[in-house]
Amino acid sequence: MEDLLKFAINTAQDAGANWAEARYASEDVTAFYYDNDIPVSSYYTNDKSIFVRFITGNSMGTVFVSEPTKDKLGIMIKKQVKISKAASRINQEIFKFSDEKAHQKKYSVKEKTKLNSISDEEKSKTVLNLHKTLSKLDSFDSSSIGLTTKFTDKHYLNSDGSNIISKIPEINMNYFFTVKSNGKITQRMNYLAGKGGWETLKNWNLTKNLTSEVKNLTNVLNKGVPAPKGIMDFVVGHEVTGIMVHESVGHPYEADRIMGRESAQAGESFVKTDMIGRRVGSDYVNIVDTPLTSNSAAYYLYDEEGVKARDKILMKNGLINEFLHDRNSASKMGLSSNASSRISDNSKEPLIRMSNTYVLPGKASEASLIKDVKKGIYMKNFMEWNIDDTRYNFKAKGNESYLIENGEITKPVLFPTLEVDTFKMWSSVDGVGNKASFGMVGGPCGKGEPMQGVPTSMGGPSLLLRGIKI
Amino acid sequence: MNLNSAQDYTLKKLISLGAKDVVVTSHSGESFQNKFANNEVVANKNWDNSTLSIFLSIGENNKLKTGGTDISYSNQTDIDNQLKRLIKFTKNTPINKNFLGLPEDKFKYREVRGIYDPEIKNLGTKSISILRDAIDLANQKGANRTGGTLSHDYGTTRLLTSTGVDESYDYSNIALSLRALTNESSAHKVCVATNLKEFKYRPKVIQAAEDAKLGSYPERIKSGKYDIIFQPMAFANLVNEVGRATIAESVETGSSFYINKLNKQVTSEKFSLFDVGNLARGIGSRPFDSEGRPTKATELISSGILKTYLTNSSSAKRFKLQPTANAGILYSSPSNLVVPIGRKSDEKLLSELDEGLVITNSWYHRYQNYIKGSFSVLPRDAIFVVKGGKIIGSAKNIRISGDMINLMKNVDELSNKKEKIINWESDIPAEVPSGRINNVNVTSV
Repeated sequence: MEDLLKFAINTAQDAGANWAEARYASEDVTAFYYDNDIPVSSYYTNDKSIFVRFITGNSMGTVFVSEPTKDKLGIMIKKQVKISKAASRINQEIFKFSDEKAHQKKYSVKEKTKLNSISDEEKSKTVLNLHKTLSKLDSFDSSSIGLTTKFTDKHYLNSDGSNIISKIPEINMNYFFTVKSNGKITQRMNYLAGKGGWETLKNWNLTKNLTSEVKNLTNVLNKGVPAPKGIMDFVVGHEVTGIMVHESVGHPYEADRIMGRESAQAGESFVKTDMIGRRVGSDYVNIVDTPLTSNSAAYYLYDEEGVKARDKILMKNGLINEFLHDRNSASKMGLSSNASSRISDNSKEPLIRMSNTYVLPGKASEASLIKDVKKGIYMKNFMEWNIDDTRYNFKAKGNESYLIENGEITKPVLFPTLEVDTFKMWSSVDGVGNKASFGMVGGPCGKGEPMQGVPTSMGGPSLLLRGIKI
Repeated sequence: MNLNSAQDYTLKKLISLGAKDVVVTSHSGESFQNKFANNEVVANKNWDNSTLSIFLSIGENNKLKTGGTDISYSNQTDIDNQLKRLIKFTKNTPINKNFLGLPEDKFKYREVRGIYDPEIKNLGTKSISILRDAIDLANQKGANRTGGTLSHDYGTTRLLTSTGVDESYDYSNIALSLRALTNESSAHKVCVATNLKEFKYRPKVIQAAEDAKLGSYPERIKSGKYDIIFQPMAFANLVNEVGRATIAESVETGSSFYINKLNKQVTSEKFSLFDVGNLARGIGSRPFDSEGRPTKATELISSGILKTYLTNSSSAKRFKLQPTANAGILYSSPSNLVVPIGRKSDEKLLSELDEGLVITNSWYHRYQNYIKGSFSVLPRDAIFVVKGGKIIGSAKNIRISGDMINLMKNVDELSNKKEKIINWESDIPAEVPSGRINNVNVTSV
């Protein structure tokens, strides 16, 4: 395969590209989707493909070939270099990449129990058994649960001399269920992902956790009181912390978004390139994005441009500290890339993406945060959320939530709304819990044209937010 | 092995291996995209779209197991190995009670008019000239910056089934998605066509630039109830939500607000909705669905009354409805969502709005509860403030929330001009006019 990748790079350069990369991937996917106890979709795919990207002066081109052969690659690359050169002629700005060290590495994620040692039957039954457990609960109404395993065997080459081989197993699970009780209905949607063997799934404790989620939501339906109105404090659990971080810190710190590359669809950012060091949160807030956490949803050691991965401190004591960069955005700002370039699958161009993004833990226990609230809301998780396309106007609507009165959780509360602007939200943080957890809510993170959904995780500890209007 | 012969071989082989229902679908063709931002063409992408996809069932009627895969088709030994694996894989799955077999009817097919233009296949570097013209035009008309994509693709889809279907069609389409930005404001327009002759992007570009300019320097407004005109981009996003809620499988899984709503009023009587699989020059048109059933027009909502769900053959049987030819073999899918136009011009709709808003686009529609349809969505791009039937300013930082049934029951008027929309939020192709909706809940931060 290396010969074919070298051929692709040489073909692009011979046709006039001044830099090129080529990536082969074998993506082996098995998926089982159940609606209640019915296996509505079971499939596997094994796609083998090559993706080529090249720079032609002032523009950039890409080619994706399934069933790759020299003939097919040669024809498509030459044709696309010609189009990219035509684009290059009408652009004003030279398309640059930051200079980065070339790496020659092989790495893989270890599997205690190999995914391919688990039979299709067992994978399918795992989903079915989860449904069966939930269906024994009186208030449970229906579920849709999907399990996907994927093994990606990737070989990356670029004209700088990088040559990186990776073998990455991963598991993704999404679930959606409906609970009905006391004449009321609520729903829960969640998405889990990790890089590793079958043990990854076991570590999620799905049976215990989903049972607990159904029971807790039933309690909310049975005993929940209407959400109060007024100005009050919020204590948010790690899922809410996670979505706050992901939507209002991770996304707006993506340098391509800040510089307008994604303006048409994914949007831009309230953050501008000159805002490094600007205060956007209280002293308590420190936020990190790292792909280096073993077995995490977004684990990688080298990004999709061959740059060695590292931790990125996005917010330090409430101040903007660093953006997420690829080689193009880094070059524009006179920096080195911090290896934030990712893809959803081999047919897509690399884009700046988050990996595992979280608030660093503080010193307070969650109990002490709650004790510090006279009247407020404890929002453990949420269902509906959104944010505007500059990442300023944020909303999360509580699912499992409780009233806090005089420092104690007193009763469940029905679906309170946290709707607040990003500056107010992070400035109002007056306490940070000492125990961080990660979650992933809603599904893979979307960006790009065509849309790319990549696994990311988000989280941190519980947070105390003061003076939020509800 | 070439794609067509691999397809023929695959069908025969799977039947010989004991499969009951088999659908083998081939796609060949290419997709292109030129992405632009800050008035520069930042990426020029090309995808080879050749795939060979298989669906099959194994077993007895009403006790069928189902499986699917995409296979590599270049050599016969590889195909044989993959098909054996698929058979084994499918045998190891439980019975799929939802799948009730492929239709056995002998269908007649009609060509769908205007869904292929060979000129699009040969566009080549002309895409760059179109893009340059669009960017320059937007800037001449008041934009400071532009971003978006020019996409075009062409190809052939061939369907081969164990029930005797062997049909194919050629398709092409071209789409410009352009967001014009200026003075803290922006506006977004799309121009979509299946042939170059109808790809008249310049009026859309001018409109985007002028709307962006008109929306300059937006201000905060108060939370409250507003009467709102949803321009086609924003209205198509709502229509996409309505269309998805009519899918039979969405109803079964609790991800629809139309559960037990057949023959009940679900929208204002001013609103009707069709799914038209064989729409002439429709972006989502095709002569047959994924089971080989000829596509057709289906009235989903008739003057506010939900008439049917969108179905494939199996879900039609489960719901005891007529099939609407919207397979997805396992999950039905809309093709072209068409909203019949109203009688009043866009100008008249605006002039009748005493106090309210005009929303040009929206994004991030999310549900707290799919069954109730409780949701919120964020307007994006230019939001115009209207008083006395005239635009007097622009707004920012607002959110719309409510429930989909009540929202759509408050549709007060539709304009007499529709647009073709396909976009990030509206991934189902839609042809919709502007819609005026009264008493919409708006919050502001």
